[in-house]
Order: sequence, then structure tokens, then C-alpha cells
Amino acid sequence: MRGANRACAERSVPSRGRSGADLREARSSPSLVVAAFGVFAIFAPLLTGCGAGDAPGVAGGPVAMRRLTESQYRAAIADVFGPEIEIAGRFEPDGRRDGLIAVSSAFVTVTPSGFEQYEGMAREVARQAVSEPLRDRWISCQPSDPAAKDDGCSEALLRRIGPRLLRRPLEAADIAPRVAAAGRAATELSDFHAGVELIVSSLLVAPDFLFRIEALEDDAPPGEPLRLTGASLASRLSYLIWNAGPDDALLARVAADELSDPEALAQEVDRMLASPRFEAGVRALFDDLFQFDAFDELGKDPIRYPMYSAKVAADAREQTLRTVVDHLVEQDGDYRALFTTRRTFMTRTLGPVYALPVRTETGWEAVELPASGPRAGLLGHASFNMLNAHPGRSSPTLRGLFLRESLLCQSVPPAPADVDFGLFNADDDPKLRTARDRLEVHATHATCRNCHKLTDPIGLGLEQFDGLGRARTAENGAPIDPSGDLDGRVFEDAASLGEALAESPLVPACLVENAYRYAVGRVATLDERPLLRHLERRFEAEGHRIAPLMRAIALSPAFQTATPASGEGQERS
Amino acid sequence: MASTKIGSFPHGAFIRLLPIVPCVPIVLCVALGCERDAAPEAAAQSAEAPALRGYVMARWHDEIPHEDPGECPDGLNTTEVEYFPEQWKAYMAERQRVREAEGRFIRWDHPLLPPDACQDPLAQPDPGYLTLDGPAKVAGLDLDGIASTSRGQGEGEGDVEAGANACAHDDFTSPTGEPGIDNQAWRLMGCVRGYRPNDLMDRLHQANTMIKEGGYAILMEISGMDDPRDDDAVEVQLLSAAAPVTLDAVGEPMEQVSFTAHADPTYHSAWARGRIEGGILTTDPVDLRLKIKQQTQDNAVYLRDARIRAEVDADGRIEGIVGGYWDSENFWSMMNDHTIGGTPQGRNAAFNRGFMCAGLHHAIPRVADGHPDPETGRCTSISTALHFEARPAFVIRPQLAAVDRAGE
Amino acid sequence: MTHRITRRRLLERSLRGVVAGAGLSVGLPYLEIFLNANGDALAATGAPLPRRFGTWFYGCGMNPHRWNPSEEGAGFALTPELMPIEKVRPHVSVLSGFSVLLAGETNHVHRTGVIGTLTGGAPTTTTENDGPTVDVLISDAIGGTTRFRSLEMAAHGLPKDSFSRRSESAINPAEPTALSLYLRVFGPGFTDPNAGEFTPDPRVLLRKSVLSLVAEDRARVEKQLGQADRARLDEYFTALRQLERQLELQLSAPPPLEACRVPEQPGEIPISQDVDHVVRNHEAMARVLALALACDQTRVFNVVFSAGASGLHTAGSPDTHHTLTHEEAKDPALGYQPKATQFVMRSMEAWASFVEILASVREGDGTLLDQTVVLCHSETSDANSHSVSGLPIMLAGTAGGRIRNGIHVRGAGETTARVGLTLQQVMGLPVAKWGFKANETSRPISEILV
Repeated sequence: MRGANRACAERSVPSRGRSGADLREARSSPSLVVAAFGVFAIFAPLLTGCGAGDAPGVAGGPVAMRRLTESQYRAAIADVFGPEIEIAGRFEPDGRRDGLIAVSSAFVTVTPSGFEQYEGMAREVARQAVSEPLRDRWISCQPSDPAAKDDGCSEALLRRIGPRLLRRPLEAADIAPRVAAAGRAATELSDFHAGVELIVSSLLVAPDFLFRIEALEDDAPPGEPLRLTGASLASRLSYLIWNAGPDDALLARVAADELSDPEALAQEVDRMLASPRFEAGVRALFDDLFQFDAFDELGKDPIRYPMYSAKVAADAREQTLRTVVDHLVEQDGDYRALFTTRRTFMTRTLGPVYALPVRTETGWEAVELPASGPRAGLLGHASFNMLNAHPGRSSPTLRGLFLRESLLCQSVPPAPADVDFGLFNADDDPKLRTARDRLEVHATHATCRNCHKLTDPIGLGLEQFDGLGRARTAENGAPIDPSGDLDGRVFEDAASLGEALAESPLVPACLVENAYRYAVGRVATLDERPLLRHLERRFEAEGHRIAPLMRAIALSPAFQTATPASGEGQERS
Repeated sequence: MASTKIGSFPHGAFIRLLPIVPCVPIVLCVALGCERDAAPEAAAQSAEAPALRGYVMARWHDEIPHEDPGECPDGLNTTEVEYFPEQWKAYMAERQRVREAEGRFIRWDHPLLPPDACQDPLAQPDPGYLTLDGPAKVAGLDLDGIASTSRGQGEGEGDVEAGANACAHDDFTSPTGEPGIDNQAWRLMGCVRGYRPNDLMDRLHQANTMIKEGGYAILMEISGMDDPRDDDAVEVQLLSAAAPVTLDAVGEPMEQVSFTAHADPTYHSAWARGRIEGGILTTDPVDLRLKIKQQTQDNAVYLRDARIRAEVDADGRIEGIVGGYWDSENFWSMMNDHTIGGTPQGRNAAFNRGFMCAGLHHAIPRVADGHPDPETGRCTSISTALHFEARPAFVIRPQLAAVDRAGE
Repeated sequence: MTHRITRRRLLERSLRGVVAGAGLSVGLPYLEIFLNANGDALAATGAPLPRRFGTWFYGCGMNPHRWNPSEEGAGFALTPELMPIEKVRPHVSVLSGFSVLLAGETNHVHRTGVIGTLTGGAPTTTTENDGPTVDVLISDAIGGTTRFRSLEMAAHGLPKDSFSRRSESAINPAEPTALSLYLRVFGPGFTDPNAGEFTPDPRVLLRKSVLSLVAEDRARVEKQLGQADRARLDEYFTALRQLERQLELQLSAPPPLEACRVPEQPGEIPISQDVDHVVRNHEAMARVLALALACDQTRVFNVVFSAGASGLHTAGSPDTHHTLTHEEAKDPALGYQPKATQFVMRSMEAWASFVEILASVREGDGTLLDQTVVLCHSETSDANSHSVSGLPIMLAGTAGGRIRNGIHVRGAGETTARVGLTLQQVMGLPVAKWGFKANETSRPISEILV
């Protein structure tokens, strides 16, 4: 055991990816780094292993206070009041940090106009939720007089929905004021359900609904890591695995204080991974990782890309997510094979972009992309190619940047502030017919070359797809050369670039890193690096399947504990 | 009062029509068409020259001239409004009165008006009808293989005796100078206001309104096309689609869309033998019924012995002419069978276009030039020409289409 | 229950809140107090000016090649059939190329275009609408506090020609003359809005008490947090407090409506479809409507200038606008039907004068039109062929600074439901998508949003 621990601890933190400088700025003061090392030193003797077996017992980094994303908000309403409820309103932008909305969500706040929207949405949801017949779904008691208040019934229904919305057991302070206010409203308007509306609205504008606030237990023995409270751990689990709040069964575990029991925890994780809702969790992870929120603002030049429509874009996004979920969850497949598989899904809306026949008139059908065609794996999907492109043409640079940052976890420095755009008269030059010709300036100019050598050569591998993702063999009459090399691995075209990615050890390691960021809402701390190494090995040992990876993250000690950052004044009650 | 039907063709199942289809042996449909219907998919997915290529019609409308439409020395046809001015004035006043008082429209077959000849063509005396006579240029095909002139006008080299299948008629010259163009439908409608250059029909065609607004969607499939420039044996089928065309971001019919063919095989033609020479596709004649559902009309157009002459271009688009004989009875029905909410609108449509139903009814047999009745010798169809532009698409056979299979 | 809280007690509580709020606001810069988050200009007393929505319909469309501008954005050149709007150009945005997408539905001539635009999709039958019209949806949301949920008027004098309807069996009938409109609004039932008693809306009180519940819980939530997150939570509570202040304003008596006055009673204008009468009737109606809005009698209105399949005619002529579009020959030299097009020009002139009248009433720092948005539309583009593609649509007024005027946006064949969705969102309705079947959309027209 000791030897394994030492090997694990001694493994150097590789220079690839981000290190201490990437820690959340707000918490990356020198004192935090010192504190983090300090904790690591304390817990080092407790490490229990780092092979494909147990996770190293490092403590997790700081906790987070994350604002619900739009999809999480929607899921919460649908879970509690039913999918019929229409949520209409404008959500504040989620932002993106360290590649993920999940990380940004721990930084964003609520503006006055954003709060107005939340308040309006809350009232509208409440109005629908108490209307016939939707109220029967969740209001189990009958008021003694529907035109008067009924504190007993109000309290009963508050106790039913409160824990689901606030993701924790209710306290007395949550109940009495709401029941009293509901009573006043019911009396004033001679309508019991007006009071119920008030209760619902008050939950939906509450800070502990709109934010997932993580809290720590205060009873850790000296020298032990601080554990997340049962409710906070339950939220972490359910948002990681389902991208939704805890269900009743999980909340029952919280109420019974059972999640601190490793066996009970493992049972819960396995139950959640086996649930149909796991698909939604995986879908949300990849929607975030692939930056698909950008579809909401995507637009294309209608003259250059007349096939583009909002529906085409929506279906392209869905196609990729459906392929990911089918491969990773339904088929329990190897993550790497996503970059080579020709199995995907198609609609009649999307068919023209792929120039493929679609038998199904409405909805989706599974298809096998033609083996003789240029498309294989996710990189051949229209989604990436239309997203990582300009409104009027493709962009090898944007595509390469996406591959480097999101799939390989490599950082590409931003363009220098004094970049000389005068070097680009390329679009007007009839001699420069292909993107490769036009990007030559990147390769020959020293200031450009340093960064563009990272992006352009691999991005050019996707030039077989235009700015909408339609296949092509020529640009402006000149044949396209899609060959290149990925850090020494030669590829001939987009399909073989996919094979190169499938072979790269960086690709699964990057997913591990992103999944962990996604799980805890921040980049891994230096302390947590050995855990990432461990997770990589586990991922590999278990065939690069997503469910075992999620399980390993959820059951790792770092996921369940946190380091109070010094100077942050974590108050303990 | 009984109405007289012009011609009488069976309206039953498609198969009943086959015996009267020249040049297309029944065995062709049975042996090739029906078998192909079973599995066009796999072939279409292959990147090699597919056994079947599908198309959607981005344009499909009458060939009527935008310019030089030919002379109408006696002017244009009149409408009932001018022919029965007193009755129409009284009717319009009543229409306005009821509209203002009750907020509804009175019927067009109203007692204040003469009987509605659009519903019953013999209910009014023949008011006469002006056809476009004399030389004129219009696009079309030489359907009967001869440059005909009508009996008695005599200066042309061919006449009614020359064509076994032709009733007396004058041929047109095409805009490119090709003689022998059979397009009696234009002769019939050429002096109707709504068919003159830049008027109603021409505007609809120029704006491609009927296809863009979903009045009809027509598919084509070509089998065995190995070389789009030269291929001595291809086969071509035209079909109605079950749903309208898809428009792209600039409002044009989109390519590469998958269309389910109409569920009723009445609206699938037989496979016509064809060939491509120097990029020009021609086919042998087949009968054609295509669904039309637009504005006030829910009908099907019926062309007999329809054939294609069209150019296949480098992008895989095909543009050209479908020429054929428009069944007289169907022609009459297409002109008059309009309803809104069950109320007849043929009379309304007639004055919108600028003719009288009674006159048109009597003019139809005068211009008919195809398919003589074996007993009476009178022709029962009218030569016509349609312009089309086909773009690559996928034709899905209805029995293979799936509704919401959801990919599960 | 002996401590039953009466309306009076609730009110007292809220009034204490107002006093407290006023005390807190002392010393804050003007903008922070008197602009809400959407940047609405507030009257001197601090309450928001009413925001209003209207439709303005005319029949038989236009000639697309003479109406559609060719340039997009602010610099577009007025086309021949848009020349009449020159005098109000800064107040009007032109939306061309938006269509009711039929996608297999029949084009019910003279019906599909108008009902399609107003209900968000091509009607599936000739008799029933597939949903309420957009003005009804908006008046459901904003019309509840005024005397009239909405006002309908038909300048051509036919009360049944109103498109405003919840369903075919619930059509809001139109006032046929300026006089009848005047009597309905300013007749015996009218009370001076500046003299009335104020009763606070109990719903607003409830909203405020929801916020109080949350605000009182602040300490408990906060104590779990580190400094950075505590600062984020501070922003949340600042936002909450700002909304509380807005609600407090709504609970105090509204400011006097400075622009409100009773108009002169209009004279009798004969009911007729003679275009000259219709124009006069329309102008008189617009003047009554403007003051009805200024007196906050309604916040939603629907004006029909002429019906679909327009029966407008010139004195002595048997031809109506509609019959001309079908029967008049196109002048080969001009390339359009000259007589029918005259009615298009008269309609555009009437629209321009309508906009001008709303813009002539001063209100707050701007005009009545500034707080209003009016949708101008028709049932066809080219009436001769009954086309519902590329319908003529214009918007006038900024709805309180939310809409950009003076520009042309090209719709490229997209659904008119995008217009209806945009208008609902601008009017504050919580609607993320609208329309049905092929016309369903979740994309407002962002080009015209400020």
C-alpha cells in the first residue's frame, strides 16, 4: 500500500493542461495554494491507493455556490410540477469559464433585470401549478374550504415540494412564515390556492433554490477533511449524474443521514446510474463540453448557406447529443470510438445537409453513414462544423481551437493584441482559393505561427466540410487537401483525423479532467491532480465507459470533502 | 337541367387505365416499377452512381409566354360581369348589403344571377369564346410528330389526314423557332386576361407561388442513369409527394430533401422508357395524374401520353418541358372545380381570370386535338406543355416511410 | 382566527413599506430611483407610463416589387408604395418578406394571411381559429387594469370586420364610427382618471409579501458562505430590493395622466366604403383613440382601416379595391394595376396619418407613440394571386424604448409568427415560443429589439 501511495504521490503533475494558475481567481491567492499544500501534507499518510483500485484519499478543493442553469431550472420545475408547465422567460446568460458553463455557474450572479425575470417566471409557474388539473399532481390534501385558508393543508404541500425545490430537508424557518403568509393571502383573496401560489413563488425566487449552495459538516475530527453535508453531497451527485435535483429517494437518504455511509452511498450512485435519467446527465455534460449553448446564437449567411435554419441547427445539436448518449449510455461504448463511429441519427430536416435519404417523416431514425463518404465520428457531424465556423465560411482555426481546448485539454494562447490584420487580404485574392492557401500567412508569419501551428493544421483536416457542415471536395474550384498531422500522427482526411484522436491518450484524459471540473464546479486543485491520474487509469481499465467514470468520481473522497480556503471565512454554525 | 360531360374516362384504379396507355406495356410496371418500389434506399445511399436518382420539382407550371403572346385581334374574352351587367350590378349590391348587415358572403349561385354555368355549363346559352388564332410563338413539344394546320386553312404541309391521332389544329412555333409545337391549351387560354403576360397566371408562375405555397409537390425518379450526358436506357417516373416542398433560407425549394411519395399510387406514373443524348433527356409517353391542392381547389391534373424533353446540367438539375394531352373533362374540372367551405367558387374564379364558363365549355371540344373517341371521332384531350425544373432529392416510397420511428 | 388581516391592514403594512422605501431612497441618484431595469422613462412622480399595443389592418396588400425596400437597416430607400410614410419614417420600421407558411394547409383566400399573422399559423379550417389573436393574448396580460381590456374600431364602418377574437364565437366587435367610439369611451361611463380613488392591487401586495419572505431569510442563507459567494448573494438581494421598490410604487396612487383630456365630440360621418369617407372616419377615430390612450382607458386597440378583400371604392365607381385586384388589367407600361394600386396608396397614407396622430400627443418626456407599438399588416402581399408570402408588415412606436424604429428588416420567407412573438415579448409577456405547426418559432426578430 505504502509503495503504491508513494508512486501515486510521486507522479509528477504534467505540464499539459492547466495548473495552479488556473485555479479560480477568486481563490487562487498565494495563501490558498499554501493552504492546499498544507492539507495535502496532512492527508498524504491516509492515502489508500492509486491503481485502478481505490481513489487516493485527497481532500476536495473549495466548495461552490452555483446558479442553476436554464436547463437545470427547467428540470426542477418539470420534476416537481410536471412537464406540462410552460416556462417562459429570459434567463441570464450562463457564461463559460475554463471551458465549461458548469464552472462559470459558480461565478455568475443575479442582476436586477434577471431577478425580475425569475420573479415573473415564478409567478407564472405558480399560476399554472395550482390550476386544474395540474394541481392534482402534487397537491394531495383538500382544503377544508377552497375559499379560505387551511394552514394544515398548506404546510403539508410545502413539506412535499419544499425539499425537492430547495434540495434539502426543510427547517422550521422555512415553514412557519410561508404558511402564515399563504394564510393571509388565502383570506385576503378568499382563495386557498392563491396562498398556494404564494408558497410556490416564494420557493422559486429563494436564493437557495436559484443557487446550489454547498455547505460543509462542522463535526470533523481535527486533521480530517471537512465533509459536505448530506444535502450538499446529494445535490452534487444528482447534478453530476442527472443534471437535476435529488429525488425523493435520495432526499430520504439525506434525511436519514445515510450518505456518510460508504456502502449506502455506493448503492445510491449505482441506483442513479441505472436510472433512465442518467441519459439527461450525460447529455448535459456533453452539451456543456461541446459548447453547444452557442447554437442559441448561431446564424448563417442565407445566401452562402441557404439550407441553414434554426431547425437545422437544433437538429444538428440534437443529432450529436443523441449519438453520444446512444453510444455511451445505451451501448455502454468506449468513449474513443465516438471519434470513429459511423452510427448516428437523422431527421428529414437534417437529411439535406448530409445529402442522405431519411425514411422517417417526423422524428429520428438511426443511420449508418456511408462507408465511402467523408464522415466518420463526431468530427464529421454538421454540429461542430457549423458551430466552429464563420457565418459565411468555414474556419480551420476555430475548429482546431475547439479540438485543442475542449477535446485535448490543451491551452492555446489568445491572439496578440497588436495582431496585424493587414496581413489578411486573402479573401479578395483570387489566387488563394482554398482555406489552406489563405491561412498560409499564419504559417509563415512568426507572430501568428506560434499559436496557429496548434490550431490550423488540424482544423484544415475538417475542410472537407463547409461552414454549414456539408461535404465538399473543392473550394472555389480548387481541390481541398485535408491531410495533416496531429502532433506527429499523420492523417489523410477528416475520418483519419478522427482515428488519430481515438488513438490519442490525451482524449480520454481530457474527458476525465472535464468531467471532474463539471462535477465540482471548478478546475482541479493541485491536491486533486493525483486523483485525476487515478481516474484516468480507472477510465482506461474499465474500457473508457462513461458510467464507471461517473461512479469513480462520485465515490472519490475528494468529491465528498472540501478544503476551506483560508481567508474565506467559512462560517460554521 | 342536365349537364353534358365531355368525354368519359374511368376514374377508378390506376391499373384500369393501363390498357389505354400507349408505348408502356403493363409488364413494365409489374416487372420493374413495382419491384423497384420495394427497395430504393440502399442504392440511394451508395456514393457510386446510384441505381435510382430522386428529384423534386422546384418549378412546374404551364408554358405560357411572358412576351410576344400572339395577337387577339378581337380583344380578350369577356366575363359574366360585362355579359350580364344588370344582374351582376343587382347581385353585387345585394352581396355588399348582406356583408354589411350580416357579416357573411352570399353564394355565387344566387337567384339574382343567371344560372351558374360553371356548375352546369348548359344552363346558359353559348356566349361565344375567343381563342388565340393564327401564328404565335409558344413553348411546347411536337407531340404528334407533324407540323399540322387545321382543316380548310390549308397552307401547311400537314393536316388532319396526316396524323392518325390528331383532330384538326394549328401548330405553333417555339420561341427558338422549332415548328410543329402542339399546345392547344394555350390556344384556348391565350385570349383570357388572366393568362396574358404579367397577369395573374404568369405572375403566379414567375413567383413560383403554387409550389412555394404548397399547392403541389411533384417528385421524379430516374432509374439506371449511369452517365448524365449519354445513356441509351433510363427509366423515369413522376409522382405526387405527400407533403409540400421545403423552402430554404432565401425562399427557394431546397435540394436533397427526403419526400414521401403520395400514398395513393394513382398519383404515381408508370415508369417511362427514356434516354439521354448529349445531356438531353427524352422519354416515351405515359399517363400522368398529379395531385393539386391550392387555394380554392382540391383536384388532380390528368395528362395523357405525357413525355419529357429536358436538359440535365452539371449540378444534377434537370430543366425542361413535359408535353402531353390534357384530358378534356379534367381540364374543364380544373378550370371550374373551386370551392370554399363547400360553397362553389368556379364562377368567382372565372371572372378573376377573365372568361365565362359557358363559353369555355363549348370551346374545349373545338380545340381538342388528342385521343379521338373511337365512335364519334371527336378528340377528347388538349395538347399542352408544362415547364419544370427538377433538383436532386430523395423519393421515399410510402410503404417504406416511417412516422416517428424515433431511432430507438 | 382573531387576527384576520383585512385589506385595510394589508394596505397599512404596505404603506409603511412605501414610507420605508422612500426613506431609503433619499440620496440615491435620480436614474437609479426612477428608471426600472428595462429603462422605462417614469413620469415625474415615479410611476411608470402605461405601455400599449395596437394593430392596424388594411386589406388587399400591395405590389411586392413596388413596396419591398431593397436595402436593409436604417439607410433603406423608400419605395414607390412606401413614399406616404416619409413624414413618419423615424417612427416606423418596415418588415418585409415575412410569410404565413402554409406547409400543406390550404390558402383560404383573404383569411389565411390575416388570421395566420394574428394567431401564429395558417388556419386549418375556414371557420375556427386555431388560437386567440395576439392582441387578445396581450390584453390578457396587460389589459386587466384599465376600463376597457381593448378597443376595436373599423374605419370602413362594418362592426363585424374585427379580427380580434379569442375564438370564432368570441369576436370583439368593432366600433363603426368615430362618434360611436367617442360615446363608448368618453360618454356617460367616463370618469376622470385623475380624480378617482386609488385601490392598490391585492396581487401586487402578494408579490411583495413573497419577496419579504425571502428577504427575511437572508441571514440564514448568508452565514454558510465565504466572502466571494457572500458578495454574489449581496447582488441577488440588491436585485430583490429593487423589485420590491418597483412594487411599492405600484401600491401607491398613480400619477396624474398629464396628457389626458376629453376630446371634442366628432361629427357624424356617413357609414360607407367610399374611400374618402373611410379616410375621414379613420382620422377622427384615431384622434379619439389617442386621447382614450392618454386617459389610460385601454392599453390595447385594434383598428381596421379596410376589410380583407377590401370593399373600398371611389365615389360612383362599381369597382372595389378587391375586384380591381382581380379584374383590372395590368398596365403594360407601368407594370401594375393602376386603379387597384391607388387604394394601396390611400391605405399607406392613412397608416402614416394614424402614426402621426399618436405621435402628436405629448406624454412624459416624449409622445404617446413612444410608449406604444402598433402592428400594421394586411392579408396578402400580391392580392391578385392571393399570395401570403412576403406580407406587408410595419411597426410604429418603440413600446417604451424596446423597439427600434426607422429600419427595414428582410424576413426572407420566414414566418410572421416571429413578429407576433417579438411583440408579445416586447409587451412583457413571458413567452419563449409562439405559433403552431410550421409557423412555430422561438426566434424574436432581434434586429428590431433595442
